[in-house]
Amino acid sequence: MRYPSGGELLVECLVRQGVSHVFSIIGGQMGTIYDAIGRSGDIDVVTPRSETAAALMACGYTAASGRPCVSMATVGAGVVYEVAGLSKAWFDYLPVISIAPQVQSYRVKPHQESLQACEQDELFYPITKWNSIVFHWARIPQMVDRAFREALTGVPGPVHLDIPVDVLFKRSPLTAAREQRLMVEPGRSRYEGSIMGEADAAGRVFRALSAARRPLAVIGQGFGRPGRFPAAAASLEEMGVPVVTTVHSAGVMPDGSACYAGDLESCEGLEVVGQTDLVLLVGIDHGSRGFIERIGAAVPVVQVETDPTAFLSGRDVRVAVYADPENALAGMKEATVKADVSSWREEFVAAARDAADSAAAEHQVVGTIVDMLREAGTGRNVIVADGEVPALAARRVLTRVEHKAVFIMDEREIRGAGLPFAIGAHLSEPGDNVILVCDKNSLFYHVRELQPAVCGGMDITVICVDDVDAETNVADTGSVLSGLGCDVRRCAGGRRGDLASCLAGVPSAVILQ
Amino acid sequence: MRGDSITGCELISRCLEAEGIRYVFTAHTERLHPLLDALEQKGDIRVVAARSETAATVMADGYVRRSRRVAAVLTDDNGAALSQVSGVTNAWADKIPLLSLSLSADSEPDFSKGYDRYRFDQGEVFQPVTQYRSKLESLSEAQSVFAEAVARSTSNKMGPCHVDIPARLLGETIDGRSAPDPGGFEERRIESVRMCGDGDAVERAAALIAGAERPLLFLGGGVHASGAHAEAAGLARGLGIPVATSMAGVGAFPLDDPLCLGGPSYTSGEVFHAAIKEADTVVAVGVSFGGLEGFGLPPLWSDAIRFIHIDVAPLQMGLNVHPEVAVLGDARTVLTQLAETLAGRGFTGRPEWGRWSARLAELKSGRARRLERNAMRRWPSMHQGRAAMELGRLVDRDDLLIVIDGGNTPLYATMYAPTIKPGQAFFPFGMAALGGGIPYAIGVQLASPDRRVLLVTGDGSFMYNVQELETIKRLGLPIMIAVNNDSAWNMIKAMQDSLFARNFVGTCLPDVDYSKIASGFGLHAERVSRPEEIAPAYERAVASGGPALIDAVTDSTNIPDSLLSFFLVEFEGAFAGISPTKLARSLWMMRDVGIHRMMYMSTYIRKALLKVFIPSGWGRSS
Repeated sequence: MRYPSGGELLVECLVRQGVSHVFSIIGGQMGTIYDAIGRSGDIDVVTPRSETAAALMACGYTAASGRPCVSMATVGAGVVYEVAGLSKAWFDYLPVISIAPQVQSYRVKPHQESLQACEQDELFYPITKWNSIVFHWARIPQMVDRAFREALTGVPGPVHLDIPVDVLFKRSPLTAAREQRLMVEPGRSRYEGSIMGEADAAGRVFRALSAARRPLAVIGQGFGRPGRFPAAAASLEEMGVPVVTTVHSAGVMPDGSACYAGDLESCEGLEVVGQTDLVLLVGIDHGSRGFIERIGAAVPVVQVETDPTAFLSGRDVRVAVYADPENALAGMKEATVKADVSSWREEFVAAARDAADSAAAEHQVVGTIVDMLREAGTGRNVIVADGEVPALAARRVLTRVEHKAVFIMDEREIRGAGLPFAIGAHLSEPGDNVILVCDKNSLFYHVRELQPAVCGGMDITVICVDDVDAETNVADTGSVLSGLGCDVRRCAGGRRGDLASCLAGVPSAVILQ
Repeated sequence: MRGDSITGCELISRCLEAEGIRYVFTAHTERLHPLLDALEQKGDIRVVAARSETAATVMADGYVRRSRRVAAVLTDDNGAALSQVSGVTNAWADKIPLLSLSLSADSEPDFSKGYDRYRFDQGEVFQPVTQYRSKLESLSEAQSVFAEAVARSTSNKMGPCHVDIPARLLGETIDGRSAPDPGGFEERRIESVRMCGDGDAVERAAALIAGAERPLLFLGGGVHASGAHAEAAGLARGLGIPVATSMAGVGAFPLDDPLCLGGPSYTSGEVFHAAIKEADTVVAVGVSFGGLEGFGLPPLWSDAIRFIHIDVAPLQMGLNVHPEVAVLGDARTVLTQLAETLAGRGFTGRPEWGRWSARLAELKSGRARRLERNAMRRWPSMHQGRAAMELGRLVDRDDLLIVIDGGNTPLYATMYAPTIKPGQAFFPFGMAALGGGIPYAIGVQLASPDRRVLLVTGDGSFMYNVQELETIKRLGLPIMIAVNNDSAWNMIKAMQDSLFARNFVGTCLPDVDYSKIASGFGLHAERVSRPEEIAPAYERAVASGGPALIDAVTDSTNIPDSLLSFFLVEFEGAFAGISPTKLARSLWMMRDVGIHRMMYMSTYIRKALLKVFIPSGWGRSS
C-alpha cells in the first residue's frame, strides 16, 4: 500500500494524461507537486521568468504540437500574472490545463485574509471553459480527468484547477483496489472517438455543394491544429474548392496546395469574395464569423462543427453538420468533383494571393523577410509572427514559402505573445527551426524570456523589424539582445544570407533596420 | 449646437481631469491613441507610456503610494486589460486607491461561454480584486461613473476600482455642456476622513491600557494611510510601550528606536514572537489581521491577549481577532484622543512596563548580534545580509527612497538595514507578488523628482519587468537598482532543502550577469562579488548621474532563519504529509519560534507518535 501526497497523486494523473511539459514558476504551496515531478522523471518543468510567459509558452507548445500541457502558478502572487497569459489560450481555443495551489481548503470561499489569498478561482472564470477547486484528496484524479475532458471536448479551450495546500500535502492510503477505482484508465475518461454526424446530412450537403458554382471553404479553429484531423486537409485538396484560413488555422493547409488562397484577412473586400455562392465553414471562430457576416445573408452556408452549440445563429445555415472535419469532408469530395469548380478556384486563389502580395508591397521590409525565410526554407520551419508588419509577411509565407507551421499572433488578444509562444513551440519539437518574426515593441513585452532561452541553448531565431522611432523606444534593440546573450546580426539593407547562418545554435537575432 | 459637441475622448479626459487625475499610465495601442491625445492636451494630465500593460499598472500604484494622490492606468481591451490584473490585485491587497480603466468590447458578453471568445465578460475578472467595477454604457453617464469610481476607491477601506470603456464610445459625440468644464480642478489628494473615535470606547481603551501588565502597540498600514506616525510615536515613547508593526506597517515607527521590535515574524523573528506570546494587551492600529500577521490567533499569538482595535473600516473589526475594545476612527485622531485621555488621568505608564520592554530590547539586541555574526562569517560568497548592511549605510547617508521587491531579499533588507524612516520605504507586500520592483520604482520616482530612488530586488523578481529599464532610460529617471543575485528562487529552495530531501526542482536559476542585461538597456551597470566592492560601486553609480545597476553576487546557501512562523501559518493543516523528522529538523534550524521551539516540537512529535501505527507511508517522501 502506498501513501501518496496530493501532489504525487496529481503528478501521476498528469503523466497518465500524457503530459510531458509543465510551464511554471514554483511557490511554497507547490512543494509536493515539484517533489513528485522531480522524482517521477516523466515531466519536464520549464521555468520562465514570469508566469504570464509561462502560460504563453504553454499556448505555443499546445498550438504547435496539438498536445495538451500544463501551466502552473503559485497561489495569488503567481496566478495574478498567469491570468493574462492564459487568456491567449481562451482566445485561441487552446486546451491549456492551468493548475494552481490555493490556501487551506478551510480558509477559502470566502478567503480569510491569508497571505496571497484572493478569490482566485473567480479570476479564471471568464477566461476558461471550466474551472473548479479540488477540496478533497480522493477527488484529484476525477477532477484532473474532468479538466482534460472539458478542455478537449467540443470547441477546445483552457481550464483551471485550484488545489488547496492541505489537499496537496495530505497523504492518504492508496490500496490497489482504491487505485483502480480512483484512477480511470487513460482514454476512458473522455470520448476520443469519431463524430460521424447525422446519417442523412450527407445527401443534403451533396445537393447544396453540387448546386454551387463558386463555393468557398472557410476553415476556422475547428479544423484543429497539427495532428488533430490529418486526413481533413487532403479531403479539401481533393474537393478542389478554394480554401481560406483564419489566424486559428493558418498553416493547416500544405504550403504547395493549389486550393489554398491564404489568410482570410488578405481576402477582405475582394471582388471574388462577393461572387461566392456557397460557404463551407469548418469550425467557426471570431475571424470566420465576421467574414461570413460581411459576405451577406444571401449566401448559403454549410457548417461543420464538432460542438453542436457552435452553429451560427440568426443566419441561414443550409446544412448544419455535427461531425468532425475528417468524416464530414470525406463525404463531400464527390459533390464538388462533379460540379467542376477548377476555373473558379484558380480565379479566387490568384486574386487572394495577389491581394496578400500587394498589401505586403506597401512595406519593403516584408519582401526582405519573405525572401530570407524562403532562402532558409526547409520543411521544418515554424514561423511565429508578432506585430502588424510581421503578420503581413506571415500571410505571404502561408502560400509562398515552404514551412511546417505558421502562427500569427493576433494583436487584439494579448500583445507581445510571440517570443514566449515561439519558445513553447520550440520545446514541443526541438528539432524544428522556430523563427520568430516580430516588431520591436512586440519583442520588448517578454524580452526577458530570451535569457532562459539562451541559458537553455534553445535554437530559436528572431527576425526583429526595428521600425520604432527613437523617441518611443530609446533602447538599442541589438544591445538589449546582446545583453541578454543572443548572437545578434544587424542587417540594414536586408542581406539575405544572414538568416541561414543564424539557423544553428543558440538564440540568435537578425535586426532589420 | 453642433459646435458645442465634443467626442467621447474629450469627455472622458475632462471627467478624469475633474476627478483630479494628473497621471495616466498606459501602454500604447492604435485604438487608444485618440484618447491618449485628448488626455495629453489637458495641460495638467501627464501620460506615461510603459512597455507593457502589466508594468503600467504597477507604475500607477507606485505613484499613488508615494504621492498619496489618485492615478489611473488605461489600457486596451482583452489581454491588455487582463494584464492589469496582477497590478490591480496588489493594489487591492495593500488597499491602494487606483483607477483601472480599459477599453472593452462593444457587444454584450456571451455568458454561455460559446465559441465567440471575444465576447467574454472582461470586467468580471476584476470583480474579486476591486472595490467597485463598472462599464460605461453611454457617454451621458461618464461623469457619474468616474466620480463614483474615484469616490469608492478613496473611501473607507481604500482600494482599486475598474471601469470598462466600450471602444465605440471614443468616437461618439455628446453635447459639451454635459461635460465638466475644462481646467481648474485640484489634483485629488487621498485625504483621510478624520473620523474621531467614540468617547466611551476611547475611555475603555485607556482603562485597558492603564491596567495592562505587558502592553504592545501594533501598527499597520493604516498608520501610513492616516499619517499618524508622530501620534503613534508620541504614545509609545510617552508611556514606554514597545512597538511592533505588521508587514504593511513596516516603517510606521523608526526601526532603530529602542522601543521598536520591528516588523512581524519574518523580519524580527524571536523578538516579535516573544512579544506576541507574552503581551497581555495589544493596541492594534490600522491592522488587518491576515496570514502575514498570523491572524492574531494561536499558535503564534497568545490566546490570553486582550485586543484594542483601532481602524477606520468597520468591516475590519472582528475579522479573525475579536477585540475587547473596538474604536472606529482615523488612526491619527483616535491616537490623539487616547493620548489626551491617558494624560487627563495623569497616567504616564507603569514601572513594570520598563522591565518588559527592556527584556524585549535585550532579545532584539541579542538577535541583532547573532544576525551580524552570521553575516560576517566566511561564506562561499557574499552573505546577503552583509550586502544589505553595506547598502543600508549608504542609503541612510544619502536619504534615498527605497523600493523593495523579492522573496528573501526584502527580509534581508529589513533585517540588516534597520534605519528605515517613516515613509522612506515601499514594500508592496499584500499579495507577496514578485516582480513589481522596476515599475514601482518608476512610479515612486515620478512622484518625487527631488529624491533619488533605490530599488533593492532579488534576481528572480528583477527580470519580471526588465523591459521597463527602457522606460527608465526614456524618461531620464535617476533610479538605482541593487540586485541581490543568489541564482535561486531561494525561499522555496530552502524548503526543498529541509523538507524534500534536497530534491531541487525549478528553484535553481542560472548564473546570469544582470549588469550585462542592464548595460544592454544603456544603464551604468557593475557586477560586484565582495562586500568591500559595494561602496565604491555605489559611489560610481551615484556619480553616473543617470540610472544605474549593481549586480551583487551573493550566497545561495544561507536563508533567513525566521521563516518558520510563515510555515506554521501558511502550511497549517498540511503538516500531516511531512515526515516528522524533517519537520523537527526545520523547527530546530529556524530561530523565530525562539523559546517556544521546544513546545512546537513536542506537539509535533506527539502527533507523529500517534501516527506510528501507519506502517510505511512516511518513507515515500525521503
